[in-house]
Amino acid sequence: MGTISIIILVVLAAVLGTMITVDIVKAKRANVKYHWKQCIAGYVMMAPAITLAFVFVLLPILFSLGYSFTDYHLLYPNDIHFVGFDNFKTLFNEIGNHGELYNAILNTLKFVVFVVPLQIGLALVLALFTSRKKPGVKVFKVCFFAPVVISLTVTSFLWLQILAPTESGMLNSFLSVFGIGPIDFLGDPETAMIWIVIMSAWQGCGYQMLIFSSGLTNIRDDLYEAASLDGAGAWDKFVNITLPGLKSTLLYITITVFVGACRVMIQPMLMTGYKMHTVTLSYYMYEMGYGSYLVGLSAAVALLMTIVIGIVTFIQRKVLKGD
Amino acid sequence: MEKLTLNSEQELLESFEERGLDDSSLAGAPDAESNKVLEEQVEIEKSELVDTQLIYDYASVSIPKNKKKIALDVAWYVAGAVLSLIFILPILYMLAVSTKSQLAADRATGIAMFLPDFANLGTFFDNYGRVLTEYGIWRNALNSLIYAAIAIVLNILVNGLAGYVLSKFNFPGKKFFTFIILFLIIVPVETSIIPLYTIVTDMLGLKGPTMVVGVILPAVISIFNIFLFMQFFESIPKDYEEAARIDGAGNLKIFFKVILPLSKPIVATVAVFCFIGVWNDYLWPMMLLSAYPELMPVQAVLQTIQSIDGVTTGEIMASLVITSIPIFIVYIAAQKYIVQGFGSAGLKM
Amino acid sequence: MKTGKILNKIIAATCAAVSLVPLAACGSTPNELESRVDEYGNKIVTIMFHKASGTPEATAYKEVIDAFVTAHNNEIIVEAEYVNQSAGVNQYQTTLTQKYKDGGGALYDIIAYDAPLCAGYAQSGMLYNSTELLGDYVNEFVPNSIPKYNGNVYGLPIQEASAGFYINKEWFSKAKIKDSEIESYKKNGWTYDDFYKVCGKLKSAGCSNPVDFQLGSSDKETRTFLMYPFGYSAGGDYATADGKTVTNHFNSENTAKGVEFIKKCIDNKYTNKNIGSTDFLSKKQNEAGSVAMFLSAGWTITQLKGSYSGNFNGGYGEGWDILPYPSASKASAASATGSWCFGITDNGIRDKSVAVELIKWLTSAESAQTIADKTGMLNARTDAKYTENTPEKFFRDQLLATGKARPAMTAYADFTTEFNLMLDDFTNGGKDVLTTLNERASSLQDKINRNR
Repeated sequence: MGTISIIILVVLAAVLGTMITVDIVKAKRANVKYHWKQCIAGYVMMAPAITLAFVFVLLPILFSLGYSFTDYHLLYPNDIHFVGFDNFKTLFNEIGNHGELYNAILNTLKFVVFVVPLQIGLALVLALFTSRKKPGVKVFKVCFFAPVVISLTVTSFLWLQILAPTESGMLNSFLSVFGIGPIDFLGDPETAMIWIVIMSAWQGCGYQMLIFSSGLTNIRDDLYEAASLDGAGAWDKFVNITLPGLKSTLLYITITVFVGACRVMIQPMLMTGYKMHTVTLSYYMYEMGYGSYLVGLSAAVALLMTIVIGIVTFIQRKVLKGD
Repeated sequence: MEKLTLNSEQELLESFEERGLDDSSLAGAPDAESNKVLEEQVEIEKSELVDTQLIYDYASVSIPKNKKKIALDVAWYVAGAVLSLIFILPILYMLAVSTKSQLAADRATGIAMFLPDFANLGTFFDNYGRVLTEYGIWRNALNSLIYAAIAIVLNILVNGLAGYVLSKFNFPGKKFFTFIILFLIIVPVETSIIPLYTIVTDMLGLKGPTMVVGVILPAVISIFNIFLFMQFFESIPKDYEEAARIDGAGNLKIFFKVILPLSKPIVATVAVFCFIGVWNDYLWPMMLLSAYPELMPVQAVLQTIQSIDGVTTGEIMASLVITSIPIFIVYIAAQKYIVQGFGSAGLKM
Repeated sequence: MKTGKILNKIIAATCAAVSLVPLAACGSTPNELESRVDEYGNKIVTIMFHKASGTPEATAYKEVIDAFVTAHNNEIIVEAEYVNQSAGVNQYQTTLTQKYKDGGGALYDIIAYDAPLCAGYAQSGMLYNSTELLGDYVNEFVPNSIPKYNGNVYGLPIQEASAGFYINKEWFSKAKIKDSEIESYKKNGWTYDDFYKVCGKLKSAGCSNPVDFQLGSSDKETRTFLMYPFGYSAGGDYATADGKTVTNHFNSENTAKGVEFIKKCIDNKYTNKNIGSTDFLSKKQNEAGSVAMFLSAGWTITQLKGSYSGNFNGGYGEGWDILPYPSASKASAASATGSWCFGITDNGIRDKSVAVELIKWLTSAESAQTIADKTGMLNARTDAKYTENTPEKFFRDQLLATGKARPAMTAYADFTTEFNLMLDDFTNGGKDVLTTLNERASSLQDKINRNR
């Protein structure tokens, strides 16, 4: 592993060297002179950032790519073999066998399909709602934003108590008023993912609300006034003025929420643990690498995820841009 | 794909740019117009949090003209109250239960579930006391603070210096570094947590308590912060620097005495977000420090508290509140920079 | 400008330090120590338990350890850590792995672990091969309970566990099943057909849920522990002795015949996954949703004797009773066994004598009895005494007669996962048993192959 990183380092240094030479040659032609003392000082001042970025940002990305074609095992880091596409074959086998990965894909799909429209829709509604300039609107905004402030870990543990399957759990306590017995919301394979969706939307949508709000202030008021003069109704105004005005904001939010949703992991991890009905792709990837020590396989999942997310993001961009 | 992402960022920036703004709220930023990121930040700040006065003024002029309008207003307030309750109830629940004994928490139904245990003021903070002393969460909270403090200082130093060099120096290879930075901003880093783990444990060979280094260092480097610093420093006119240079100041002195003081907003934003990042981080410290509970940051230890035998719901809630308090304080104290940061975080993909 | 220069140097040094930290930390070798002593020459031995302090189990362990220290005139210091296993992140497991990697005694000298994990821990080198250290001492324990891998001993059992079908006798008398019949099943075992017949009678007597297999439990290991014996009970098995091959074992015809029993009970509506986890205990015979038979482990005894005793028409043998696992034939009968063990670890400390002394003390006749009394689990020692006509005695006899350990494989966690996926297939319906087993066996074989 050390040697691999040294090779990468050498390659990078070579590329950097070429780039520097090219720059120097260009500079000579253009008769620009470098202050060499300044340059060296610059390199020295950048050294910490470059070192850390190399070790903690660049190497993990490159390794993630490289590991997916090896049988890297966490307990035997000095014994790595190149295995070609074996990891990917294993993954497709597991999907065929209706194993964990199959469930992970289904659950992630479920989460994405529900959370993206819910969270964005909710955020949009809240943004429109708070766009009315009335006294007290700020109080509402603070309330809607409050869940964003508490961390995902705290949110998960808080909802674990709210959804507790005992009669003293907050939600079950509500339901017991209607004579509905204590329900194990997170233990039931049918509903667990839905609750995780609701919780995530609850926690996240305040943030998107803020972005939508700033997008709304961006739409000129005279457009609405003109539309009112033409006798347009509220819905017409929304469809013809608000939505087109929010297009770039919507694109941006859709993509970020989508990518975030694809990576969902902390919520099922803390609320149910590694269970078939809530395991997600990221969680599976993490368990493979950290729990089962199969780094190669985990990296292969990561690679497939990156590719799929990339493709879907690309399509979203095309569709939402409308060209 | 990378190129496209950049395009959309560009669009977003342009869309923010279209809105006019004054730079009065940006004390210390000499040339705000040229800084796209900050423009957007200011804009959001203006639209969100400032000028409630203006809202009141607006309300006082627009006197409802007929009953229909009054009905609409009432409906709006009712809907707002209901929506707010949905968002705030779980948090009220957390606060209320944290003051109750297990018995009181189990017995409370209806509205009482969301009200603190005023009946037993003597035991009001008992859960907090137990969580802090018996479960020793204060130690982990202190750990979190220390890690965050170290990370913030190093983060500003390391990324600030890099941003300074990249924006103000002319040296061969500059384009190459700038390209790499733009490239790395786009690549999804979250998918590489397992390789990162192998690097820290196997390649760097960190083990035992030295794992703490592995917890802090990845939080120190932030490509996006380099980008932010670069953007901001570029907007600082060369005159300041040159004047200092004529006085005989060295590079570092210029950075600390001229550049950083002029960049207070961006330094504050970076510091605040570094703090939130380190304080809220759960998975990474958990992976590295699971064998050393006394070194764990506070988020990671929440898991341990959950699984203590005989822990009460009230104690769990108290630990959650304790964990959230610093973040709430930061959000309130640094409102301005947070909103700026959200604007710039909006660029991060 | 002097101050500026100094400042420059300080900053430069900091920068250099920051950039060097990652590189300087390179290189590591596992540390070894001969033994551990404190400044007064007292020997130190460390141990990790799987229960949080304050629990009945932990107090029992504490009591035993205090006696050990007293017996050695305080010359051996025991540093005990009581760690609860948490859900979510697999903290217990990763803690062990990390400390093992650190070497130099970072890992506890003795750890508690669940028996089926023995193979995995032994193979990764975490557990110390204690065959010679313990010698003949292992003969003092029920042979089935000793954690072994590849024929070597890797520890000693803390306790034993067993499971069976708890029955509500009120339902049985309502279904006109005679006491003599129950007695015969209990003594001579019963077949699947006997079981179906009983379920049918209970059903026609008005019992909507004749039996609860705890299919609805959200704990994977509970479901596995309770139902894995069926795979053996028609002469099948799950894997080869070395745990490396499951193809043609997990999906063999006999295994299929065994686990099909569970599926038939589901298909015939004798059981389902929606039965509440305490319905058998909390619902009286005349209440809606009452359950007649309940597959559970020994810990249910305490509940039946305790807070739920009022729901039954008397105690053991009167209001409730326990029946063994049914099987295809008497010869192939199998029941659940296996609980937590103590194991000496290979943690870089070469001198294992203190650890051996402590582990022997912890598992001595006296200590084992103290622990069994507090935990309500079965004693795993051969010399343990049990009173006739108690539920504990029933489980103990079943353990000795038909106990069959969970498959020993390094990838035991994967086995649990696959077994649970199999059960999910059964409850969801739609597939025949062999298709399910073929899928699961092939998946498990894949997972075994990729583990080194």
